[in-house]
Amino acid sequence: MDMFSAFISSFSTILQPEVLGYMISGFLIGTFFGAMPGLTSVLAIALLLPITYSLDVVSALVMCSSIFMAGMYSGSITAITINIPGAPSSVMTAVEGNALMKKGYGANALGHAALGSMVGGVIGVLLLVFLAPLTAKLSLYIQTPGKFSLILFSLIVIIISHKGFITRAAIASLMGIMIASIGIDVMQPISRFDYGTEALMEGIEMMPLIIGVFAISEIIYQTQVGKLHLNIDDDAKKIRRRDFFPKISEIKAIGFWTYLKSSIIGYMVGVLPGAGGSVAAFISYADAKRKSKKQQEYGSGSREGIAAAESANNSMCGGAFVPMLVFGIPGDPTTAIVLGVLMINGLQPGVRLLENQVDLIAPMFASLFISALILIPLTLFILGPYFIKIVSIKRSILYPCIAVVAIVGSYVATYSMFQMSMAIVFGLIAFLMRANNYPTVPLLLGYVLGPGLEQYFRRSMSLNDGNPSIFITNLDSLFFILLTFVFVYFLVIKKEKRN
Amino acid sequence: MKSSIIRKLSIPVLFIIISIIYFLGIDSIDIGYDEGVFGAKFVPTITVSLMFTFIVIDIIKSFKEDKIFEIKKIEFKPIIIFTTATIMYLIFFNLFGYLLSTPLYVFIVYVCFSDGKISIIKATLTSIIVTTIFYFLFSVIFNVRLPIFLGS
Repeated sequence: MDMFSAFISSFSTILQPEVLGYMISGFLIGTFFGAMPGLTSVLAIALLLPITYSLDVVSALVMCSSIFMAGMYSGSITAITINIPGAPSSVMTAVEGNALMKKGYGANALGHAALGSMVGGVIGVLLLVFLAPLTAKLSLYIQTPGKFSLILFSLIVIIISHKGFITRAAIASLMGIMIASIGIDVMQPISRFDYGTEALMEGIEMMPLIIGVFAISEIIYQTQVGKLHLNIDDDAKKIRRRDFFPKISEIKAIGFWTYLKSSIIGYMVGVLPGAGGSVAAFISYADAKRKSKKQQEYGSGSREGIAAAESANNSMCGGAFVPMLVFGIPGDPTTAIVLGVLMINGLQPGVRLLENQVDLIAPMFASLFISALILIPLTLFILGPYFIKIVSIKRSILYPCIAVVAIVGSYVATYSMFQMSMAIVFGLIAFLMRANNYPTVPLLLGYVLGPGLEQYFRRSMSLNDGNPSIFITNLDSLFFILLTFVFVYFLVIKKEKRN
Repeated sequence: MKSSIIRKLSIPVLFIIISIIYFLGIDSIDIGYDEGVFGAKFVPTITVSLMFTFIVIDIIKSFKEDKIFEIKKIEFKPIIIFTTATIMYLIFFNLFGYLLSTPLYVFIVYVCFSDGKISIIKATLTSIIVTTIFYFLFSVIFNVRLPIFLGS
């Protein structure tokens, strides 16, 4: 079955009551975590990952994808209403949306954010459905040395995308690679770094790392930042449903081209490792501003700016799945966790997954599609007037809940006291890293990509009798090495020269 | 000034200690079948060498640049309370089960995050309600087997 047919027929799977229930609950959880300042959809997926152990793979993937889409959209809710972006990808939306809010058009701004997210999300999924099989076919031409160079390229791009903290991102990635190397070797049945203990022989599982880095560290971080005073004025409380619908004249003024172009930019940024929703939103916003006929509106409440930023960050969701599904290379923490779900269920990313097991993957695309097309506007319409009340939940109730889910979740996933205690250790390390301006995402991505990097390197070397020239003589490997240099030149060297 | 230096060096020192332990572990790796130079020890050796190099660069850079920390002053008291409570929860969870350990843990975390005066009644009620809700969620909805009472 080809991808498009599988995508169409997967809607019947989605409509099964159980799967539908997981998709809707995933969307609501993602909306809550995305909207709540301090919480992210990554944390939501990290907390729910242990629970996915007891679910079938389709339900687990459907739930994760709806959280991803919801989290990307819902960051705009608090961005517009109280000028605090629920997610980093909503910073540009906060600039324009909150300005509209102050003028008394808050509901209208929320409507435009939902429309932009809807259009971007749908276009991103369609591009994913049509382009992922093509990319998968191209990936067949990549040989072992090329796979090493591709992973190396991804890691380097992830590192250099941390502007101002490149050395620290490199340290975090290397730390991730070091943690991943504990346990059984990638090529031989020998144990490494066990220091004579049985517990370390099995290595450190992904679950305690994710729970520690994203959940425990967040709770510790929140003990430091103190109570967040939400300045909720009366306008934010008086949001009416009828004002959510954007006027046709406003949509015409923005123009379909803005939605389409922003969505394509968002999708392309999503394919790149390490870039994420905030980069997608910023590039599209800047592009829309540059080409706009109403440049004077930008900064003081531009609906076009909201549409561009929201279309791009939601379209990014579709693009982010491409490298993860085709090459097993996640570009951001969300897709890294989804990759974990695939691996727990014995699914190996690559061409075979997209061709032979497409019936398991297609419902995930359908979930992204329905989340964007139906659940975003529906949630806004039903819950819109209550969003502010929902995000005003007391920290003393919220964080005990997160702590219990994190700890019980790590128990459920590992049934090991050692692995559970590792979650606390990683939580403390990740907190100290965050507090001292060390990025933590490269730690997880180094952990995920490290074993592949080592395996393909050693295989390539054994294929060429230990001669490293194979990485230059092999064309696909050479291509990725040159691509790495191009990225380093434009993102690091040229930028530093300009500054 | 002195505390700023300690703060700047805290993470590099932590990573140096971890890297030294890691480096010492390389020596005890069994070679297995012969892969030449590029065997089971090669990538860990390169990784730890790069790690040391980047840590040195980072230390030099952090003294040259004066970047503001994401958290200006770390308050250790809530971290110690939360971490100790979590460690105790892990132990009690395995020894006494979910139903006994969770209300206690929720109570402590509730206190940690309470702003202002703490109501014992509210904290107790919250801990009982949260425990019940998540027991229902894990055990009934997701069919996860939790140690219920005294490890049973």
